Amino acid sequence: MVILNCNKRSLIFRYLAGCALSCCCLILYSLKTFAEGSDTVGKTITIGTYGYQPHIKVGAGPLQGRGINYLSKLLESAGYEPIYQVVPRKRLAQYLANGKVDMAFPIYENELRNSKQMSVRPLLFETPGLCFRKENFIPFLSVIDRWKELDIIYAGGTEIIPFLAEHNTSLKPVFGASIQDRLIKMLASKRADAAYVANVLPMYNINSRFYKTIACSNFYGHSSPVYIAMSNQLDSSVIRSLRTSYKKLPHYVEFEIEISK
Amino acid sequence: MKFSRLLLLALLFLNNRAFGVDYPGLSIEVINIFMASKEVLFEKQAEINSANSDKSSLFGQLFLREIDLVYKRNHGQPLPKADHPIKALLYQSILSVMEDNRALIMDPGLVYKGLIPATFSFQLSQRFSNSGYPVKIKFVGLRNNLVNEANNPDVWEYEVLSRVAVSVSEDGGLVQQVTEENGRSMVRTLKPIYFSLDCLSCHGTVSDNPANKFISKEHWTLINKAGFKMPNYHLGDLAGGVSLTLDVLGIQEGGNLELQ
Repeated sequence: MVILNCNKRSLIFRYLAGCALSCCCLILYSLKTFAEGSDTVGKTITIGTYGYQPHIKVGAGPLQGRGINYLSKLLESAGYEPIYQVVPRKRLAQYLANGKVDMAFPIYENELRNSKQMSVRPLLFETPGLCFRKENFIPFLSVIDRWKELDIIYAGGTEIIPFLAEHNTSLKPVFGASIQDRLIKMLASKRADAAYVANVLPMYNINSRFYKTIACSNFYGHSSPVYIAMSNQLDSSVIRSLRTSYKKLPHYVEFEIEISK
Repeated sequence: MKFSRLLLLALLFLNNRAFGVDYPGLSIEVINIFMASKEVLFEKQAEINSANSDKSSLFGQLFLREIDLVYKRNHGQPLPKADHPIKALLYQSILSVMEDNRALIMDPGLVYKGLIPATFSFQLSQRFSNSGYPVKIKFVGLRNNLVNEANNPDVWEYEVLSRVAVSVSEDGGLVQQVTEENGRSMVRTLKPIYFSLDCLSCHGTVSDNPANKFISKEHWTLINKAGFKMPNYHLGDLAGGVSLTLDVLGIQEGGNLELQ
């Protein structure tokens, strides 16, 4: 009996101590949450971007696309309000480096030098390819013989994958405004056999205005990573909180499927 | 054989004691799902290449249902649940690859789309392996007869395939091994693939080439539908394998390779 009483007392003491400890933890947690919340409430993050089909669609209204859904979710879960700023493609990395935007997407590996990656994992990969008139479609680009002697055009300034440059000596750059339209027009009017594009998806998707004219094949195995990047000038606590939210967010693949349903 | 059994025992011991997850079992499941999806793609070739048939079963949940049917046929049980992030990622990757190819599949202007099991597998392995998770899946070919250089086997895969090529086993020659790479334990699994009748239309002899059907022998072509020379394989020949690498420590850390 004595032992039992002693245990009872001990249990009551432990219970009370536990309650006190829980209360302390709860108070501390509330204070921390309040402090964090007050840090981010009403704070905005400016994201620099450009029309990047089908991930970012720039139109008359607000920006749309699976990339926008993903970025908005990311910022909102970290407690920030996203503000999107459409920036010329060539200037996006520079805007980010100068701190004119807090975040940027899409950013390529060679543009990451003066910024911070959201993650070591790229958000997605771009695959280069060749576009053809439908009647001349080549489904497998690993069959080099089929395209090695074709007249291939590409947008001047675009980096050509070495695999293509090694096997085709008739690569012709095309310059000027609305370059994609020019490439497709040249292709349609048979002034070229194929057009090289650094990323097939924006050119060849069911919503593309070129879909009726061309079909594209991918150079599988030559994909390049695309990242979300943050400005070096962002406060380190903001960078930390964004990265924490990024880790908790569902994989981008899930956003891609959701949108296409 | 003894050596691989010993390693498998060591693997199971490590697995039960330290990891709490059946990594060898998980690896086999992932490979079996991968193979079932590839098989579905083979069976759906007519649908893929048709100009105007209903193609809804090639996307989303309907496509997973097709894989489920094949999985049941092959293994006598339903498609495994996505109860591990790696399996969930594989299912997502399968659906994403089909979405990536939507324009091609739906294109009424193309007689032959070229979305075949080999290209599907390659895209799927890239999607899956590039996700940042500490897991890689790869279709590996034989070094002396590669169509795609990206399917080149690494040293371990080459050794396993060389062993498999000269031995016949009851379990289809599936090989599992724990290897050390830069001080990290890797659970490696390779399932060999052998040429079936379906495969021979592209990988078989000149007489297997469908383009030569109803044509007199002197007019036969050596080139298959994909544009390659028929490589002269026969029914049951080793084609290569599906290779899976799990970075055990990486998985335990939750794939946490992030920047600080």
